[in-house]
Amino acid sequence: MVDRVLAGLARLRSRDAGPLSQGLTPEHAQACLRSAVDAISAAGLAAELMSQGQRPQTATIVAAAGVFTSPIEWVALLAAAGCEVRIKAPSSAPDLCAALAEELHREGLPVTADTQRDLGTPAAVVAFGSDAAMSAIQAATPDAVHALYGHRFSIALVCGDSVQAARGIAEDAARFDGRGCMAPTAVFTTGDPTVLAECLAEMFQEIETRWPRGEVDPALGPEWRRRTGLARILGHCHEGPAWAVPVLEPEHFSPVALPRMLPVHGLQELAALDGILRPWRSHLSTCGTDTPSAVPLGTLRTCVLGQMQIPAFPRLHDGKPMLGSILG
Amino acid sequence: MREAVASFISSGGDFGQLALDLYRWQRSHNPEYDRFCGAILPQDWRDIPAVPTALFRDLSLTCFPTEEAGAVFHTSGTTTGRPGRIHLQDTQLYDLAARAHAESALGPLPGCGVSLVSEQITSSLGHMCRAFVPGMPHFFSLDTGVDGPAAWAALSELAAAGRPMFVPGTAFALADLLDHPGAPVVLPEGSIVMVTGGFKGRREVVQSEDLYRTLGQRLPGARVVAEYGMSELSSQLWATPAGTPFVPPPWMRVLAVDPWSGQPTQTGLLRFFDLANLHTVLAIETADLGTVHPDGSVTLAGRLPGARPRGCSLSVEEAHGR
Repeated sequence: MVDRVLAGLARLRSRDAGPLSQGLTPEHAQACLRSAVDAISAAGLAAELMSQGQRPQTATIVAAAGVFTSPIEWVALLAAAGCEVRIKAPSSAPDLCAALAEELHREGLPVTADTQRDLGTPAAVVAFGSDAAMSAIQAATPDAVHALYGHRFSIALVCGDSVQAARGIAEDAARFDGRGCMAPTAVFTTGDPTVLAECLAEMFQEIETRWPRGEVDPALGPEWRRRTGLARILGHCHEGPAWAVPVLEPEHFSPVALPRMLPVHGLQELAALDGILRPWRSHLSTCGTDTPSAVPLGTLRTCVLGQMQIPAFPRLHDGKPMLGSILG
Repeated sequence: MREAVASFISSGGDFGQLALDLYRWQRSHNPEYDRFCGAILPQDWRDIPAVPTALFRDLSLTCFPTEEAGAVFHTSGTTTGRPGRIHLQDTQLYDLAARAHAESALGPLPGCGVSLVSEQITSSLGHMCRAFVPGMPHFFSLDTGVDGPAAWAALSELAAAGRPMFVPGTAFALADLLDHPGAPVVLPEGSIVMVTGGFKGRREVVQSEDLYRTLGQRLPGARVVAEYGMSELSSQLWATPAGTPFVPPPWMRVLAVDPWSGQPTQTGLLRFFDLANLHTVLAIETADLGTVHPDGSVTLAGRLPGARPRGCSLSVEEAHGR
């Protein structure tokens, strides 16, 4: 089963990712697809399949629009576990789900994809979306075992050398153009925020030549201009044609990532970070850092800089085991 | 600069030139706006950097020390739940501009009325209506909504007296009023019912056309007009009758821009260039969408919708609406 899953994923990996990517540029989309597939190995699947318990016969995965590769790990895992998998694809962006199902189906695996809203009566439901959507899914499938993942946000934290940290952070912020709950919404530093911002600006400039930014949602324009304007007034802002690094006091932190914008907030003392994040702590996902001992309270996942958007597999998803969370 | 703006409001002039003069003056008196603009040197009023209304949640953006403010208006906080504050040194220009364009659009303003807008001192709408018709009884509060029976009684009483009246109300307040039963009250000739604002999540939305038609049926004799304004602007636009495009005053221009790039377009995010905004910033970028017609009038198309989902990340609305 594992071999067939990996064979299907290998064919998916070789596909043209641009049309699947929901607006990323082709070269960037290809890099994201490769990273997502490469994270899934025979050893990783085998390790996760050792989870003890009764596996669901049928599972529906409700994929969210935004991060086009997000269903891959769960679909691969459940297919490898012998489940009959249905992917409920986002109606606005069904292409990756369709391609994934097609490639696994070619291996004889019972994986399908569609955009029908009716979730039916699967034994297990894995879903991504807003908290309201998660509540609705739970209510619509009362007999299923659920693994539900609401909206989250992530941060980066730098306590050491800015130059060394900048490349990883900038790549974390650039991947998927800042979409998804593991994208850093901001970087906090106990060092000089000005120096870190300069380093990040250089990195964004370099990354733009490698992975140009893709389509942006026009509705984000006013918030983009608010933040850059605020930074010009109260701090300063490095801006390129398709990226920005505002430097602002921590009180202006926002847990919302914008496409290729990474605010830098200087910390007078590390202890202040918990207070800054307190209003949103229940939604904190990942802290990418060069100082793991310093991560704030409530962090569900800690990783090194540069790995925020390419999590290892298997892993704890929002602090919970993956397959283990839906075993009977 | 105040005299120049007041003179324009009273007598007209070269909008483009005064807009650029005011821009330069505001940069030299408004340090926050100066830093916001950076190295930009506009040659045309359309190029004057527009401040997003959301920035007033974070900053005062005034041309004078805020402790000298003679009036402070609060924004509604429609999108985020966190209001901004608009500081005015005084309301002289505001009052001059508001009355001048209202009288130009509506004719002489009635001398009495029934108010269905907030009376809070921090409400720019309430201020404008009080300035138009001082001493109006009011029958609306943000906490309890419309006192329908009392409002209908007041309308009947004033109608019986035969004096034209001014009846300003937000769309949701007027819809609340219409929910209360009662026979139509014929308003004296010259009466004006002013509809402004949207529903802002307060009740089931009533389509504008239905609201205007029902107002005409329940308050026959009055002209039903629509007003568009906001705390961040010192001038208002009027649609006479309601349902037609909104007309800005001669001292205001409106530009529709692409929401992401900010480049001009016929239909898009609305930016207002209001010379009467002497004390703050003349160029304001709203979160409202609309079409700007060749004659400068504007047809509104609602609020800029929230951003599309970006995977499992928090949205702007989720993060700041808490």
